[in-house]
Amino acid sequence: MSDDDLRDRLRRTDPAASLTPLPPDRVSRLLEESMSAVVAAPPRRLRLPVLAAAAAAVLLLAGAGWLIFRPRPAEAPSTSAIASSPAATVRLTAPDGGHAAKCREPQPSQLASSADFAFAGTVTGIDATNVVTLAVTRVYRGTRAALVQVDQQPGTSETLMGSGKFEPGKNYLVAANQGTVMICGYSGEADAEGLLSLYEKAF
Amino acid sequence: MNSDDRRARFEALAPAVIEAVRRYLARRTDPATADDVLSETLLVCWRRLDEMPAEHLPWAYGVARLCLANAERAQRRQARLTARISAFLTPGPPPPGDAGVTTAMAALRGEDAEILRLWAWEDLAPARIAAVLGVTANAASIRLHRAKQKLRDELRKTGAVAGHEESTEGRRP
Repeated sequence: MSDDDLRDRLRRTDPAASLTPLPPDRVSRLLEESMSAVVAAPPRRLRLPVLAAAAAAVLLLAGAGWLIFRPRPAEAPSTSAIASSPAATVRLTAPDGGHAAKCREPQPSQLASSADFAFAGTVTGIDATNVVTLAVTRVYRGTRAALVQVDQQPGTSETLMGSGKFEPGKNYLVAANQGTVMICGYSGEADAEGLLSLYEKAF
Repeated sequence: MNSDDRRARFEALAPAVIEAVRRYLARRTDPATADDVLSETLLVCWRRLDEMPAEHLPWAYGVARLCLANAERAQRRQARLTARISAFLTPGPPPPGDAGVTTAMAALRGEDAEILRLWAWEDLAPARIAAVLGVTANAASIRLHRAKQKLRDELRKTGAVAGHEESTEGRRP
């Protein structure tokens, strides 16, 4: 049997052969959802010595956190390459405000399908390099981390619900996709209007 | 590239990606998972638009492939194992007419069947298959050749190849 014959025979079993194209309005909705759900974080120059010191401090904290927030073995962490081990510190990047994303009204389904990590936490500190540390109080999805660090870039404003930025002592609900905080109404102060119910519906 | 250019570029290339990836997923998983993974794949394409090569379809298939693998892993973890896995291994209801090919494909190793699907269903040449799978073009070419041979052998074994038996090009004793 020639290659062409073989390919023809295979093609006759193609399950997508009868798939009709998506209607244009579905296509534009998909496009809009992709472009508004996550704003790409621009590459950032790492300040290595400072980060190394911060990382060392975080390791100590994470060790303590591990003892306190040790996950039950049955609850395997799910998804993504954010962090590989339970109770590790997860690092996220908050997109800067420079990318003017068009935000649609947040949808629980969008949150459920896009977020690979979501948690509730309290800001315990913000260091000189604008790295925000949060103590996790509840993980909705993803790695059962005790601590999360968010690299809050200069210009992060009006992207989080509530005051628009992380402030010490306040409680937040944060969702992330592949290491980038989801904005546009998907992350913010825990008592921001509608945010908690969005999380309850999504997860 | 400013954010307007970025949007314009995405809007220009995404519809073709959506159609192609939709088909790719419809061939490999159930409709609900396909929807989820399509959205996820688009998000990744949007986020990594700057890394997208000119040949964007194989790249997008590669992204979809990893997103699908993640989704399947998550589903396995959630113990929704049986139904989904079988949906994954025998993608969709096969159209009537060539049960022999379907049976022969099911008898192949997963990676052999997958490379044949990429070749016949996604209509990709070896160099593009290589881009999807993240292997060298040479490796893809060899694997494809072997997979075709294995499929021919399977078809012969099951007797589904009746009438084409004499054509054994490329076959060694």
